[in-house]
Amino acid sequence: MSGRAWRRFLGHHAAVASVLLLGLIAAAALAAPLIAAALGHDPFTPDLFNRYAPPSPGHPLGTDELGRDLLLRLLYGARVSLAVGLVAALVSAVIGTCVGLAAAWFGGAVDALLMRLADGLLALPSLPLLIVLAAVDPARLGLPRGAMWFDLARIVAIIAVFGWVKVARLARASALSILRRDYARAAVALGASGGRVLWRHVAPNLAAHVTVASTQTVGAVILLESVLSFLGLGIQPPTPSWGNMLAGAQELVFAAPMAAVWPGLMIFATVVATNFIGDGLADALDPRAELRSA
Amino acid sequence: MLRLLAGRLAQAAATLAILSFATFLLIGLMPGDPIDLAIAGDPRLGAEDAARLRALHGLDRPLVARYLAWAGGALEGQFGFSRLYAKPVAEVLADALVASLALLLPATILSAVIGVTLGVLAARRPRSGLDYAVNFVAFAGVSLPSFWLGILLIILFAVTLGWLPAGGPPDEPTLASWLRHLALPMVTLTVLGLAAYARQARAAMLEALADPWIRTAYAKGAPERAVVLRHAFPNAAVPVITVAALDFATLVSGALVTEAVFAWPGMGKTIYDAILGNDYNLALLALLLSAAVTLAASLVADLAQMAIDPRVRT
Repeated sequence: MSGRAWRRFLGHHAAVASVLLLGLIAAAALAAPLIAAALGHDPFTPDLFNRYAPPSPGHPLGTDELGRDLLLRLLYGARVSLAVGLVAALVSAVIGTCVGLAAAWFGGAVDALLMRLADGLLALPSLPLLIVLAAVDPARLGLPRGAMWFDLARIVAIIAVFGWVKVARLARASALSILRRDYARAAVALGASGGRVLWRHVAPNLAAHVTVASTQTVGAVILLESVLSFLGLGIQPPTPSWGNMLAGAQELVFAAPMAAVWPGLMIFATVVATNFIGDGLADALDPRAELRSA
Repeated sequence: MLRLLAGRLAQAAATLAILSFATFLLIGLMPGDPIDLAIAGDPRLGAEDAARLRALHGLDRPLVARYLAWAGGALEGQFGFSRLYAKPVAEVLADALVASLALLLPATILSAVIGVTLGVLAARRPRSGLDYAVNFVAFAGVSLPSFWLGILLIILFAVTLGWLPAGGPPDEPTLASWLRHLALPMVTLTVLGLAAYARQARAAMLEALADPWIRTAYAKGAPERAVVLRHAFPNAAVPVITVAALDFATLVSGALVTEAVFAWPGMGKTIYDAILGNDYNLALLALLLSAAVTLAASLVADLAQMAIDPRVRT
């Protein structure tokens, strides 16, 4: 980012506050094992004599239905939810950019096929289809089942199936306009290969648009992960994620309503923060804003 | 106009055909098949019997052959039986569709009316307190996990106040019972839906109010009310309808979660239960039906757009 872009971003107070908030959540999530050691328990071992304990110095937010510390589960859940959100948004952005560039560069039948596929995916309700995808048995595809990293990789892949579409359309539209500019045409005329033109001339000019679009999808991705985990098709317990904590808490709203409030509040705060950051970046990186302030 | 309609219908049919094949393929990859479920009832049946039964029922044939057999039956109106409900799939879905529409239609209308009203009011006075409030609501609505909103409403109205049931289908076939059970899921869907309408209506109105004929209308002495409603609003309505069409797919997804939270027996919950309960016939048709409803909604929105905006007619 240029200096002026930085200044515009810093002028967007909500975005700056959001960066601080997300940084705080991420730092707490990274430090979760330290906090666990300081409190003297871990978020996995049930303690059946301490079910639904009210907040106390040992359990700042109380305990859940198995007597596990809620704060620690929230922080461990933050690791999962943030990691899935960032990685899935990144994977979607990479696939979307490649598809968009391919459609713009090859044109013709390739372009038509890819864009009809994108239209089709946009026109359909995504969640029912994602549930079908999530219910597929990995063993039938010859993949291992049950490992924690596998759960994570699977949910990232499932989210990316629909996630690439918006970035691809954006990348295609920008790439088409860049390829018509003189510098890109000159590179082609000088005999540069397709890969070189796309990598050296088109991709750098796309970067700002794609960054803004993918920041704006991080929030949606975190929401989607929480929905799938809530429905029991994402991250599987005992690994905590904000979504599956809410699923457990809903069955117990009569006994422990606060256990249902905290995870949702974390999701809400995180998604609001990423959306504000997306807005801030969109303002900061908009070339027309450069002209307005100049 | 007719040609366009025919083209769109052909496109929708192609989408549904591809979707049905993809879903058929994925269902084949889910754990267990009908024979596994059938032999589970008798411990004396082994792998050999399973293989024989599979051959008997044609389940050992290649995927494409099995798909064509299903598609042939479907085209004749034979969708098979549901395993969970022990009824023809079409009957199960007819009930679910009624329950879903009873939730979706009022929620769509409410969120459109409230959202557009808020958006127009906000655009009339940019940077006023009301504008900031509407912006905040729109922003929060996009960031709110639907199931969490549902749970919060349950905590407030069912657990703390005890006014409304926490979920489930209506227990008597009376309007009062339907309304009591529909109230919370409907509020959830409306709050989620109105954010997009408010955001879009505000942006479209701001643009329309900047047009030169608005200044002309003011200059000839038209009252503000008339300028906003008669001159600006029709121009802002077109993009709002586009959003409504695009948003219907999101709404169907949101309805699935909401129905799951409130145990409302609509399409979304039926799809969810069918997939988790290995009810393949039901899952496949329910998925296709919800896709068909979504595609039909976007077609209706396009037609409405043509009716409103002469520039789109060609």
